[in-house]
Order: sequence, then structure tokens, then C-alpha cells
Amino acid sequence: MLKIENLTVKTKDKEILKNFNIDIGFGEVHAIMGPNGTGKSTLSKVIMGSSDYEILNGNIIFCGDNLNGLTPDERARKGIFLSFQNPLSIEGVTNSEFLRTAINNNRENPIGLYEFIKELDKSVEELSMPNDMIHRSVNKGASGGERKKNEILQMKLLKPKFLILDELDSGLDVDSLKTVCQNINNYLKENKDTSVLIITHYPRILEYIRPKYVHILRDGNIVSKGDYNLALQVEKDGYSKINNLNGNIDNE
Amino acid sequence: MNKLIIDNVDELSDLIITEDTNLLINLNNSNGFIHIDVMDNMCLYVLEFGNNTKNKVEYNLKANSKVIINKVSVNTSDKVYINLNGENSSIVYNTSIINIENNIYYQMINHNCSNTISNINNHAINVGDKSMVLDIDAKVFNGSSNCETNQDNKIINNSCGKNEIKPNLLVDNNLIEATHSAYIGSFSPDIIFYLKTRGINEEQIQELLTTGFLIEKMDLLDEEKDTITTFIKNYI
Repeated sequence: MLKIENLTVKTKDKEILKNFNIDIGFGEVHAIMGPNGTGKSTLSKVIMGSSDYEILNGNIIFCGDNLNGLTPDERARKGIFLSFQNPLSIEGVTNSEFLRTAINNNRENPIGLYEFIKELDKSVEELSMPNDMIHRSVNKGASGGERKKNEILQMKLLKPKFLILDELDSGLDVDSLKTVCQNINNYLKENKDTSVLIITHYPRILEYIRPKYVHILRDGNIVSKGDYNLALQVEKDGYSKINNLNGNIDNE
Repeated sequence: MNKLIIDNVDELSDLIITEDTNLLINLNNSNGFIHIDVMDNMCLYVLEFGNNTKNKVEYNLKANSKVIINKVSVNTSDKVYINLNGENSSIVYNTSIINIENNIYYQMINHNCSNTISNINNHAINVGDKSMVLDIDAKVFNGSSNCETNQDNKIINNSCGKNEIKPNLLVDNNLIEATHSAYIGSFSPDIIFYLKTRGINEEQIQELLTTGFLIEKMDLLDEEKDTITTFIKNYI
């Protein structure tokens, strides 16, 4: 579904990703782990087409289409969804206006009011969010956890094919993390071809959304790849020990 | 509650509010004098739409009166004088402006009595290459204690217009609370990116953010919000 080939990216004068490669198949869940400043969040923004980064080399291929040169909204309309690490607040724009505008941009015919309300109410309930949030400005006065739930609410309504979850567990308490992950897992059950890229420091979220592959990112490149056990090893030994696995890199 | 709908500036030249009143004002191409007295203990709610106005506007508030004004204007060079003449009088004045020509919007808030409150919010979008000036004076006089005066002024520059904000606090009393702020800039690139990642195109992002910015300080009923949103969309 998503293939990144030899991607080198810089911001200002610093290269963040260096000859980066990954291949994520239909219906697969991958996790990228790594310490701070290794390029994890950069990767998510580059996939979405942020103008803060310059692609020096390489391609991002999504469902056979090269995304290089497409705007973020064009990429989103192809079915890519980024759950932000720090979702922003937008004063004056209600969740309802925002969501309806977004949904209508992602379909040919505008969604009917009844259908919208029905889907929205169902999703709000499944995420244990307050009913009146829909009339509030986007994330205004919301806690970190409420913001993350709002991201997943958007995901449920926009129905993307590919999810990027950037530090989803930050700001979420244990109960909220369970609720959010249960919603994502239900979404994946209903949409078998949907793929996921989880970006995380800690393996905690991977207990709830189990990845097929775990990649360790260091200095802009993947230095190790394995299954869920690799995440457990990171938790046990820390990232510094992963250096020792350099010889075991499973080149894709 | 008394309800008034006025679309002729002459009808506002000497209006005295003697009961709680809901006032809807529509003014086009007007250059007149508006004088409104709000008597003791009265509440006045004003929803005002304007297009090319250069009015001199005066609100005089007597004791314990409360005024809330939501004003949406396209090109306004109104000069607005608010006189808090009675103790415990208060005003919330939200002005939203779509600026297309050269305009200076002036407000003066006079705290002439103790225990008076003013909350002034001015949000303007300058859509062309002309100039927009917000010149806002709040005065608290020596004999007016325990007052509160706040003003928040923002201009979003959508093109290459020239903009200026003068957020003046002229205070001659130590026993008051006062804030003032001024911002001239554009919509946050991070917010624009966030909205784009949800598939929303550039044109609709501008529409969402402009409308949101212009009404964000207003506490509106759904029907009023729809009316204002429709009004704004005609000009963006």
C-alpha cells in the first residue's frame, strides 16, 4: 500500500531522513520506534506533504501513485490520515463545521445532515466523548486526551485507507488509551485492507494495537527490524542496546 | 423583551432604552449620527450589520445597565464612543470587520464611573491592498475605581494591505484591572496544514478560518450565527 524508496529529506540545512526505505502492505500494521530526534515525526509529516521539509531524493508511493508533488489535502483525499502528536485548537471553527467540511471534501456528494448526525453520534458515543463537543470549537480548552480522542473521531468519520498514528498514547490515560485503541481495532476489523503506521517511543500502545513489524529508527534510517518481540526488547534494554543489533538488520 | 429592527440611521439619532431590548440594525452606505441612551438597570442586546458606514456612534450607559453588541461590518470608518456613566454598568462590544477599502475604525471607551466593565474585541480581515487601522482608546478616570477594561485587537492580512493597531489604555486610577492586546498577521501555517491533512482544500480552509476568526468572540444563537456566516460568505 505504502512504499517509501530511498527517501532523503532535509529541513533548513539538516538532513533528517537519509535513504529511508519501508514497504507496508495492505492490511499490515507497522510500528516505528526510536528515541527523540531520530526523525519519526518528520516521517509522518513528509508522508502528508508538509512544506517544512524538502525531499532531496526518493519516492513515496501510495497505492501505486507517486505522492511527491501532491499537496497535503490531495494526499488526504487519497486516503491517508495522520493522527497528530499534538492536535491543534482552532478557535471559532466548531467540530461540526470542521467535520462536515472535511467529509464533503472526501466524497463526491455532500453528506446529508441526518446521515452526518447519525454517524457522528455513534462515533462520539463509542469514544466516550461528551455529546456537546460537536458544538465547541475544535480542541478549544480540550485536554491532551480529549484531543487524541478527537483525532480518532475524525478518523472514524473520514474512513481513510492508511493511518499514521504519531505518538497516539501521549496525553492519554490508561482508560482513554484502551478506548481509543479499541476503536482503532474495530475500525481495522471492519476495513481489512486498512494499513497502519504507528510512531511511538514506548511499546505500551503496541500491547493494544499489535504490529506485524517493528522498525527501529536512528539518525534518519532504520537500523533494525523485527516483530513485536523487538519492541519488548527495547522496553527491557533501552534503545542503546539496539546498536548491538546492527548486524541483524533485515534489509527490505 | 422589546424587539426593534432598524435599517435607517436617522431612526437611531436619539434612541432611549427604557426596557430590556433586542435591537437588530442593518445599515448600508450610511454617514450619520447614532445616539443611544441605556437607562438604569436596562439590558440592551444589539446585532448590527453594516456595509460602507462612516457613522458617529454614541452609547451612554446608566447605572447597572448592561449592553452586548455584536457588530459585523464590511468597510467601516465608524467612530464609536462608549460612555459608562453609571456605576456597575458594563459593555461587551464585539466588532468583526471585512476590510476592502482604506478605513480607520475608532473606538473610545470612557469609564466615567466606578465599578464599570468594558470588554472590547475587534477582529478584522483585510482582504485587499488597502489600509486598515484600529484605533482604540480606553480611558479610566481618576475618580473611577474598581473598573475593568479589556481590549483584544487582531487584524488578519490576507493580501498585501497596510495595517495598524493602536490599543491605547489611558488610566488614571490604581484600582483597576486592564488588559490590551494587538496582533497583525496571517492564519497559522500549522493550522492550515492540519486542515489540509483532513482533505480540505485551500479555498474552503480560508472560508472556515475567516468565518471562525470573525465570530469567535461572539456568543450567538444558532440562527444569528447562520445569518452572520451567510453575510460574511458574501464577501470572502
